[in-house]
Amino acid sequence: MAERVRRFFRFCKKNPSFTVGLVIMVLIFVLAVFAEWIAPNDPYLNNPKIKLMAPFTDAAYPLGTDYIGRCLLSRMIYGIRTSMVLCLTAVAGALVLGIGVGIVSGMAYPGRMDSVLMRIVDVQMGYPFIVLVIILISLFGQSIPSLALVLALSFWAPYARNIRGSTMIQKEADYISAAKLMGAGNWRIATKYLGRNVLPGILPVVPMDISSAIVIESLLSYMGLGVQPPIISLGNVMGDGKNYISTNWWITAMPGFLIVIMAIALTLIGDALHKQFDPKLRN
Amino acid sequence: MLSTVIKRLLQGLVVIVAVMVVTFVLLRLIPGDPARTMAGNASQEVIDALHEEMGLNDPIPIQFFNYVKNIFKGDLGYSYFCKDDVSQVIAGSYKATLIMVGLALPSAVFLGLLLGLLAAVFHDTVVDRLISSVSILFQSMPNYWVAIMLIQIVAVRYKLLPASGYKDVKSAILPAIVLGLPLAGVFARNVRVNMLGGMQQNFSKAAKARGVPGFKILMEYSFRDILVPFLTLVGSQLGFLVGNCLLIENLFGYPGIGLQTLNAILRRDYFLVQGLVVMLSIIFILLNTVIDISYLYLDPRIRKAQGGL
Repeated sequence: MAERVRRFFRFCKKNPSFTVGLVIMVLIFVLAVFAEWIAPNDPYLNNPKIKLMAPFTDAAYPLGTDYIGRCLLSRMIYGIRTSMVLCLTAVAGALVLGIGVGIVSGMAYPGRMDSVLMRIVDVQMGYPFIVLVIILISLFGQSIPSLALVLALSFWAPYARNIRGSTMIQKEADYISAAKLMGAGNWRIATKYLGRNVLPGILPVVPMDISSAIVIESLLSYMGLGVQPPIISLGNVMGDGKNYISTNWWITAMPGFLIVIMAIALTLIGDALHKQFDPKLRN
Repeated sequence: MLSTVIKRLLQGLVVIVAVMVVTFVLLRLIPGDPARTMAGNASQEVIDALHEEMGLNDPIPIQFFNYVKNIFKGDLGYSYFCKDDVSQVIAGSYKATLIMVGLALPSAVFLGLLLGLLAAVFHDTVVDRLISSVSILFQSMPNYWVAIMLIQIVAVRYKLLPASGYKDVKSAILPAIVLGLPLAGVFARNVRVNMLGGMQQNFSKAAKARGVPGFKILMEYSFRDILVPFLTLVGSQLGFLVGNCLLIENLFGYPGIGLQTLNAILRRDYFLVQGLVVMLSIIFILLNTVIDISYLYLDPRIRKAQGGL
C-alpha cells in the first residue's frame, strides 16, 4: 500500500500537468460534495429585486444573479453535483458494459457469439449518436437515471471494441495457459487474470469520456431535453440565461467557463495516463 | 484486397439494415403521434383518416415490410410535414451541410497538421507549450457554448457575419468555425504526439546517424509515419462530426441535414427520420471503409499483414 502511494506521488511529480488536472478535479469534486456548506446562498431562493445582477459587483452574490434573482455561483455549485453524479454513473455503466462485452467477445473469438456482439458494437458506433440520444430520452423520459442510461449507451461501444482487441492478444499469453492448466475456469480467467491486463488500453480514455459526458449533459439540459427543473444542472443554469444572452451574457457564459475548466483538467489527466500506458510514448 | 473490401461492405450492409430496423421500431415506440402533431386540435375522424393515409394503422412488421419494399422501388417515403418526398427533402438540404463540412473539415485538417508539425518541430519550447495549450482549449470548449458566444460577439455585437439562416457562403463561416475548432485541436495534438513518436523510431535514428538534417527527418521520415494514425483519427471523428452538424445547425438555424433531422425527430416525421438516419449511417460506413482501404496504400506493413494488395 505504502509503496503504491509512493509510486503515485512519484508519478505526480513527473507529470505536473497531471497533478494540476487532478487538483482541479478534486477541488471541483469537493465543491459538489459539500455544496450545502460552500454555496454562499440558497440556490432556489429567488429575489426579483436583485435580478440580473452583474458578476463581481456584490460580495454576497459573487457571480451575479439570474433572471429571477437566484445566486448564480450557488446554482453552479449545486449544478456540478448533478452533473458529476450523472456523468460518473454514466461512464461507470459504460465501463461495466463495455468491459463485459469486450472480454466475452474476445474470449469467444472466433465464434458466433463474438460476431453477434461485434455487429451490435458496429451498429452502436455507426448510429448517429445524437439521434439515438434524443430518441431514447423521448422513450425513457428525462429523469436522471434515464439520462445516465442513455449516456452510458453512447459510450460503451468503443470500450468493448478495445477490450476485445486486448483480450484476443492477452488470452494467448503464457500466464493464461498456465492458469488454464491449473484448472481456472473462464469466469476466473476473465475476472482475475484478463481484467487487470486489458484495462490499460481504455483507462486513458475514461477522463476524456467523463468530460464529453459533462458536455453532452449540459447541452441536453440547455436544449431542454436533459435534466428537468427544479433540479439544477450546469446545462439548466446556462439555459436559464438563454433569453437574456444579448444583455446579460454571464448567466450562460459562467457555467460554460466552469465546463471548459473541468474539460481541460480531465484532458490533462487523460494525457498523462495515455503517456503512462502507451509504451510508444513513454520516453 | 478485393475480398477485404467486399467483406467490409457486406458487414456494412448488415449494420445498415440493423440501423434501419432499430430506427423504425424505436420511432414507433416513443410517445407522440405524427398525425396529432400535424393536425393540431382536429377531430378524431381527421386524425383517423390521417393515420390511414400514413399507413400507421397496420402492424409494425407490415409497415416495415412496405417500407423496405418501397425502398427497392427507389421510394424513401413521403414527409407529411414537408409535403414532399423524403428523397426531395434530403436533396434540398444536403447542400448547405456539405458547404459547412467542406469549409470545416479541410480547414481543421490544415490547421491541425500545421499546428501539430510546428509543435513537434519546436517541441519542449514555448511554441510547443503555447500550441498544446491552445489545442487543449479548442478541444475542451463545449461547441454549443462557443456557438452561443460567437453569435453574440461576432454576429450580434459587431455584425460581421450573419447569425442564422442561410443566404450565401458567409452564413456557413460561423457554423464551420464551431464545427472545425475542436477537430483542429484534436488533430494538432495527435499529429504532435505521433511525430514525436516517429522521431524515436529506428528509421529516424538511422537517418540521423547517416547525417540527414533534423528537419528533413521530420518532414520525410516521421511525417509518413503519422498518416495512418491520423487517418484513423479522422475516421473516428466522423461520428462526432455527424452528431455535431445536428447540434450546430440547430443553434444557427442553418437549414441543412442536421436541422432537418432534429426537426423530423421532434415532429415524429417517421419516414424523414428513417431516410436521414439511414443515409447518415451509409455515409459513415462508406467513409470508414474508404479509410480502412487507404491504410493498405499508405502503409506497406499493413499491406503485408493483409496478404498484399
